[in-house]
Amino acid sequence: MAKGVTVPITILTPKGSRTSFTPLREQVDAVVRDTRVAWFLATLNLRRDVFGLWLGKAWLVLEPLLQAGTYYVLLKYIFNLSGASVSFATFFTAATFWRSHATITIGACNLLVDSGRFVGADISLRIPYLEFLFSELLNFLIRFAVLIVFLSASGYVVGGSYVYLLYIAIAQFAFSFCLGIWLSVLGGFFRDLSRVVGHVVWLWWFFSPGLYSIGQVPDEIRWLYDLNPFAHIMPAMIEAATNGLITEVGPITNILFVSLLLMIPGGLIASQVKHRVLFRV
Amino acid sequence: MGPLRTCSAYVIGGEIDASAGAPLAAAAAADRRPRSWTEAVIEALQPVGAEIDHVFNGSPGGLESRTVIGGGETKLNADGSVSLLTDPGQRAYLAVPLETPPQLGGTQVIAGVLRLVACADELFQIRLGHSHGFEEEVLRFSETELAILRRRRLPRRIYDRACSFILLLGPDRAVVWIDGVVVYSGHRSRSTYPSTLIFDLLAQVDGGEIRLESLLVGTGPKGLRRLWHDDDRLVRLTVEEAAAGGSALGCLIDLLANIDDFPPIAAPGLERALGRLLMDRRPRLDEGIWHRFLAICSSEVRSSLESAWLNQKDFDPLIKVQGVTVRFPRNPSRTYSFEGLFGERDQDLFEALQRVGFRLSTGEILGVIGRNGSGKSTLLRTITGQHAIQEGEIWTRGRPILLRPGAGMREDLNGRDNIITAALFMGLSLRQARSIVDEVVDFAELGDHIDRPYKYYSDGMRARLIFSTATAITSDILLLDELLSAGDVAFQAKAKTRLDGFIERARAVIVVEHGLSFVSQSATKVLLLHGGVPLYYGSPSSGVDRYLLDLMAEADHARGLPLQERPK
Repeated sequence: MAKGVTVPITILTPKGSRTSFTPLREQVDAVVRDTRVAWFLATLNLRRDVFGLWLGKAWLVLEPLLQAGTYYVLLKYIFNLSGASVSFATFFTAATFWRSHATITIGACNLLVDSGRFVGADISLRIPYLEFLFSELLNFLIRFAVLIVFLSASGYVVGGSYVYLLYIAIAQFAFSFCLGIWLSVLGGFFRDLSRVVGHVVWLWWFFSPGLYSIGQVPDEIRWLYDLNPFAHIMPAMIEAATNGLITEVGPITNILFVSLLLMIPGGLIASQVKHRVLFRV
Repeated sequence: MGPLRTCSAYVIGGEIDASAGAPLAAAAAADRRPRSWTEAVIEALQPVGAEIDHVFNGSPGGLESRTVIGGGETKLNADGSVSLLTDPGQRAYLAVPLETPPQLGGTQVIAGVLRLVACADELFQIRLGHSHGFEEEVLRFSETELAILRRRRLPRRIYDRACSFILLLGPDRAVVWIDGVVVYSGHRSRSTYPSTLIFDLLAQVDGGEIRLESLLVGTGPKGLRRLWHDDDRLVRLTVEEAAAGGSALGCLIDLLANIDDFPPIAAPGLERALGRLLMDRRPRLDEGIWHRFLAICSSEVRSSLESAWLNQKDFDPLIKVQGVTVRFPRNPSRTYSFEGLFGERDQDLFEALQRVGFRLSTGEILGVIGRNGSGKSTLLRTITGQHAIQEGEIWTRGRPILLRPGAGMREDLNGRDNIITAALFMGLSLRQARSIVDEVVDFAELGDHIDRPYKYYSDGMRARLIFSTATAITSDILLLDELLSAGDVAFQAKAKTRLDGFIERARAVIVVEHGLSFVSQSATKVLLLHGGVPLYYGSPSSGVDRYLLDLMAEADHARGLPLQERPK
């Protein structure tokens, strides 16, 4: 324990745990330290993911390239045969963003349970949760770089709208992580959740305008459709990436702030119920 | 033991008024003005004591005591008197006032209480009363279901053990020894009465079925000491007013003065003369008393130890575990299944830990021993918050870090990355974590293996790496689960030296080990668990002896030999 740092007093009771008050500055320091630790662990995870492979770290770039190639074949041959008219740029952009959402929501179902396996983990769940988020963020950044390269090579202009694209990405990650926190709590009590969420996310993808235009949705159910955050996120990102337009600013901002707001109770509940969840691990 | 006799004894202002009990009345008549209040209580109860089966204060449920005591059946005297109360259900209630009158020492009250305990075959509950009724202190004890003396029958075994208790009260702090091991050291506020501390202490060892044989109470480093002992388990008071010098020698003199036909010692402090006296008297002394003499003379109450503890600034415990019970579902997967939803889920629980309690202060090493499945690892995980507790409380000052072979390490990362990862989890910055890597690698003797993935390490290499990493960092509270058996004999010797250095940096350690050598040699106290039940908490040598006796008895049983009750 470093000098000048308040020694935490923790009391575990049947009702849960409570920790003595620490000064705000130390709390901020702890958040910064935990964030750095989580980032370091996320970078380690990248290395771990490619451990034992012949091409090693090259797979970090090769994997999204292969994904892009697969999408290209799908669109060029399979979808064309079926009459679909979606462009490769549209599909690839939507899929690049969507993949992060799917990974976070599906993986989060076991996040709280898996956190119990950290020996000596901090009483707070910051580190494993942030590590989970950062790991996907790193993967996303690599995929995003590949996306930009493909779009540039395809003749699309990479301009100022890409800053807005990053804003959309932040909003989407906030939404996905918020949803992930709540799913992790539920997943702690209902382990079956992870079996269900994968299918729901798959269905969710088809209810989002990635493979088709939002204009193709019938007006009668448009109001219902608008409740889906990705009914705003996907068109906005596609417009920004392919046409250089900034759209859906209001809904995207709402999604960002509502998600950030809902993270707070989700995190508190996760912290409160962790003991009840972890002893079953 | 005969049936319970209904009796009441009121001690008011130093006089005894007994009713509803001929022996008690006779005793009271024989000495209406006893020399001391405590003696009066004990002497009055002496004829009755052998027939008391239970001494309760309230029912096992707890809150009934408030009704019984305050309901008018009997009353507590506002002048600080002691009342032995009974009810038609043939239960006796002992109430001890917290506010003792100035002329009555707290030690006398305690001695009286403990005397009653000693004469009871079984004691379910004793709680502290207040002259104005039962208040917060009582409720606190009610919640912990404090039991002082209880013979617990475990499968094929009855545990019964006598211990030496020492309570040293300083002006603002208190230290308690059991069998020479410090089990409590903490602040003592003005409102904390000696009797409260005694009961707190006994709550710590509850479950060990400890029979009190001696009690040493001091009021300060140089204050009055009283020694109370029971040499023949009969009801006889031996508390004497003895002003000793506040040292172990003074206590010895005090003890000697209470032995029949032992010549008075005129010159306290003449250790050599005392030694000769002891040697001369040995053939005539009870064996138990003799052993207690030796224990006190050797190390149990060293004056230097007393002063060291009393002068220690950081005497608050790092861990306080009080009455912790952990229940697990027998089949966790069924707990939240549809079967569990509609079935009787409560019946599927078992108690992995039952009312475990101990304290650990700076510089102490607690060895946790017991057979497989006794709850040792569960205890460690519970302290780190990985298991929910159903009863009790765990208080930690600092962050406990649990280390066990294989845990916390990531299989696909190499040893170097795992060292950094572990160090980060222990609170180091990234730069600090990287700075310890070389030293850890050297100590763990991993050489070139450090850059290999962890999953290719042997068990010994894994344990060496974890142990080396953990002890390279100054941690508040370190929990080691089967880690010290890592490596070969040479490494274990190195590990012991390193751990000693770690302890010298003023931290606390809890060690779970099947091998008993480390516990015997290095631990400062030991906790013996059996099926989640704490059987013994105290000196390492006694704990290990007891554990070995159990193992031998089990082996005899396996060979078909008859089981015997434990030696007392």
